[in-house]
Amino acid sequence: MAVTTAHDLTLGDSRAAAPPRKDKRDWLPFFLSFPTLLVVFLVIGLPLIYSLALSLHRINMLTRKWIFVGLGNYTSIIPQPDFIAALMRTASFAVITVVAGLVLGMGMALVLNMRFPGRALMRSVVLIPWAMAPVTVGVLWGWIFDGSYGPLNGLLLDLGLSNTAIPWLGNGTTAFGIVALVHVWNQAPLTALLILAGLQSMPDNLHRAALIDGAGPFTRFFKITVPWLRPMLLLIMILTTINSIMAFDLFWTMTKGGPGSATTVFSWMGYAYAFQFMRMGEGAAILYVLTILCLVLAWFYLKLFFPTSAGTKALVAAGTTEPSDPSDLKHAVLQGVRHTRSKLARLPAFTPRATFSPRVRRILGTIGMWTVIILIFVWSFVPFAWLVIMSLQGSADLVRQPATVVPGPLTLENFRYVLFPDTATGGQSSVQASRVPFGIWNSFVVAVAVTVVNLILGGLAGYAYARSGRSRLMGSTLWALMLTRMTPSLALILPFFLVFKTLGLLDTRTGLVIAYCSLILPLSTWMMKGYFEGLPPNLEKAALVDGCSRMKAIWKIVLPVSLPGLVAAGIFCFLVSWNEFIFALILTGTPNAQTIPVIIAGFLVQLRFYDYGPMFAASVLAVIPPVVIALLFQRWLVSGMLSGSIKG
Amino acid sequence: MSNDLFRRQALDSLLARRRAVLKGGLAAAASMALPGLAGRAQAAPETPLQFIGWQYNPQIVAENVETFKKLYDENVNYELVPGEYHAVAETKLMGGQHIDMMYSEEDRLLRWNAAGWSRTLDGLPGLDEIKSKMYPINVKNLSLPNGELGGLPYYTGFNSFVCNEKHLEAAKIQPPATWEEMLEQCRKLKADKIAEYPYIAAWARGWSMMSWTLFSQWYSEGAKVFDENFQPVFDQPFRDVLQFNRTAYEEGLIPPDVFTHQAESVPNFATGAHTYMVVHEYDQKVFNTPETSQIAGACKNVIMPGKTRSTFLWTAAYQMGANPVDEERVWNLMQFFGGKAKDGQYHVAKRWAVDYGLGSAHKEVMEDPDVVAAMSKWKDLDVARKQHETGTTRDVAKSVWFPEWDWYMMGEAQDYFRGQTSQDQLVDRLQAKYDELKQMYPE
Repeated sequence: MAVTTAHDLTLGDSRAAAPPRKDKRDWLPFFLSFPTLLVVFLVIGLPLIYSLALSLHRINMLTRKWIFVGLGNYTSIIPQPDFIAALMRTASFAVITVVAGLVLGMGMALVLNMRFPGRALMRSVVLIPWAMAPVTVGVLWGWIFDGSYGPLNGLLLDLGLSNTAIPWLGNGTTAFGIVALVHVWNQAPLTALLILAGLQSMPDNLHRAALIDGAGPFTRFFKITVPWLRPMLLLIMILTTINSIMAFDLFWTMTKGGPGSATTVFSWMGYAYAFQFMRMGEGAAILYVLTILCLVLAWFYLKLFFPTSAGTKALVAAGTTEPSDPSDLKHAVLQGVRHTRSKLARLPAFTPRATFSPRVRRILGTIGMWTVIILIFVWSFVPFAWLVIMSLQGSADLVRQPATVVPGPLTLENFRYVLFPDTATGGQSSVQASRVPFGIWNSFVVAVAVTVVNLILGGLAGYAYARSGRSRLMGSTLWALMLTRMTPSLALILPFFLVFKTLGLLDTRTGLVIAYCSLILPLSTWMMKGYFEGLPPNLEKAALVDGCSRMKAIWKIVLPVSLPGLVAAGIFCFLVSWNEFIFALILTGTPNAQTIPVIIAGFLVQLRFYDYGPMFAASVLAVIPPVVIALLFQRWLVSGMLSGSIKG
Repeated sequence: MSNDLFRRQALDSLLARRRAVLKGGLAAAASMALPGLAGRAQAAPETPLQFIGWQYNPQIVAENVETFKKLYDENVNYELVPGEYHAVAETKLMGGQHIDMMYSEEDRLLRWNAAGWSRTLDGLPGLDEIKSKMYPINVKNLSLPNGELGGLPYYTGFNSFVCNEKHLEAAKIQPPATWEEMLEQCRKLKADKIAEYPYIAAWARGWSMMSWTLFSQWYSEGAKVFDENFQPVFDQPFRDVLQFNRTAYEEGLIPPDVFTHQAESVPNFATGAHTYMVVHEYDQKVFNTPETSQIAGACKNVIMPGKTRSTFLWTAAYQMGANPVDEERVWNLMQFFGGKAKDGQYHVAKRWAVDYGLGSAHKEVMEDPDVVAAMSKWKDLDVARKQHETGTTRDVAKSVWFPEWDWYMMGEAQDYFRGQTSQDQLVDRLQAKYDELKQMYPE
């Protein structure tokens, strides 16, 4: 039997192989990362401390009484049945969405990694759901599942598969499942993108060798692909778990925690305590339980993916002198690959199968592949296409009963109403519609500014961490940076409001840019760190030998070859910033700074019959910029993530 | 229109630029070069009055702001809150945002006053005259327990019981006089396949939705819910209403997804799929307007079913911020919006009444021939007047703790209707929440 190992196929771990060395302290990395640390800790640090203090007090905001209760808020809330129920729902939601997202994302990535006509287009199409703001996603799917005139009911009625409209969101379990489904729809593309990046980095000869050994597709998948993707899977699990546990926008848009308490998860419960009851202490405590949950799960995933010798030890790098660094994926993969080398080496014996002839197998394979491609297309594109169709319908045609999926006459009136409210006639609303262009403009300005700042600061910091990750100081600050990502945004809102009010930043785009930068910088730094780690240090060393200064070497040598990574990180920043909702809702008040998710949410609050059309038109306009960006740059996105994540 | 809405310089500049591009007009380019000058009186004070409101036809509010500015040579910033108004407003108030005038429901009158975010109006010039021209029930509704007026009326409304006459004709039935009768009629309407879900109401978890619906039903059945001392009275009528709703839900007489309906279920009734609805009275205008409804002309208001035939009546308010930038200016703004302007006209209240069917707390407005003519087009005014006279105000709303209890109650009631809890459990929980809140907010 042939022996295949990852050892001679992959990346030489120059860093791991090199003996530890005591260098003279190099301050440049610290200076490069300092602006990022300053922004994040200045902007988030105070609110973090404030909200932590909130969680340790029983506060009556109306009577302005602060009573220190220590962990009293935690101990009083945790045993409550409502809390336990919300905990179970949150856990269920996380498990369902993480597993479903992983399976779906894996499936999509495997298909998109194959060669077929139109692959580039499909790679763009699958990104559409991810490019849409959760608020827009909630509006869209809330409508699709509407029990009176939703298109899904229309489809079932038209096809004769049902006699009456089904009240999808009426049943608690169904409503919970639908929100989970929508969350998966929204988040699975990110998983697919990351896995695709991992798949693209996998050397072909691994599979070829296994094929020669007679390994079937399932064997190759579980023995080669999955082990190869392990570091990427760790990252995906951590990211998607955090996203699932902290999901709020969809619940806000689709169910408001109902019916009853059927969809009341932690984030919604924390929101209710903090903002409906104004019990900031208990609210903050609930939200910090989320943070603890995220940390525990991150640790659990580390153990799961890298147990024992190749586990946390692998992440401690040199072991005795270095801090743990869970985001050091390059090192992790190398250790992981090394750990699984023996598994890779022992492929099962060749057992020829003769169920079908090669030709039949090929035909069946082609049919299967195209079936899956079509399913992925339908899953990713049809809901978006339906949003566009709805935006081209008159309001009366949107609420026909009995529901039907057959569209009425198409009209651009809704767009005219939104874009040129002065010229539209016949409607009774609305200021909300007239604010759409301003919302889009604000979103654009904010997202571009956030992207630029993140690329500059995150790029410098990422480079610094990539080149000196073994320093105790740098390792600690990286840890602290990542920790800020595990704090729910909701816990930071009131302190943010107080700080921004003091600084006169409320209702300004500048305020939003600062807030978003502090929230996104840890992730963009991490992404860029991963990317720079993939670049051989010899590049700069050669430049230094040629007489360049350190900064000049970065500028002239590192930057030009970092373009894919910068583009990937830039798109990521743009999309996160464009889609953010809850901060924009609280920190802005007028069209001077309100972003498009806030405007769309405004439609929902006092929605009237005649507002449906304009709301969908606004939703379409809101998704155009991010979708166009995702479509145009998907190639760089994949290659950037690929390099930034695991390529050595 | 947009240019009239927001006067801040940056926005004007941006809007002007957009129009300039669209129209290519030289004049627009000139206005871009001189942002903020066009249309603003030179005498307008530099410091704007800060006014925040919720999302109900804000384009009309913005136009009213413009009228005020012209009439008084004033400067006003109008901030529209697009999310859940009271939650967002309280966050902003807690964060110390300066607000001169703000929308509020009556359940925030005492709460915001106690928190030091708003002030009462007593002592301001002309207040007694204003009160004398209001309906006593609305004056009571807007007064704090100490008798001082907490705000001026934005509008007054009550929950009305409306029927789809097409369905009544098809079933050959008359509107019900009791909730039991209504249950029987709904069963018949469903059995006869006239309506799959004959009844609908606003049952989503929101202050203007499930809470208002339930209190309307409770008052119509004679339940006090809370006594004069704001002690809970969870008596038999209180329980009967809960049971009625649970039965309606269990028997599929109300849409099962009603808990997650947006927009107070108004668009659903406008499709003509339902027979009865408990709804804000002004929404009957939506139902009887062809552009917004498929049952235009067939929606009829009748007196609420129940033992007392009463309903829940409320008065939304304009509250004055605790530290107005200038008391006289803010009082002018409040009178313009919540009463009579200096030219003797009820600019705002009359417009709401004529164009949108919002009731007014001012007798002069409701007796205005234009208002009478406009409202008569879409509702039976005599029935509406009779219902208004029998309306019950929710005095307990003027306790600091009530909004929290109310929000909690809605979630628990939803769970009870869905069969997740028993009635005794629900009542116990509501009582326990009351006890907890009373402890948290001692008198």
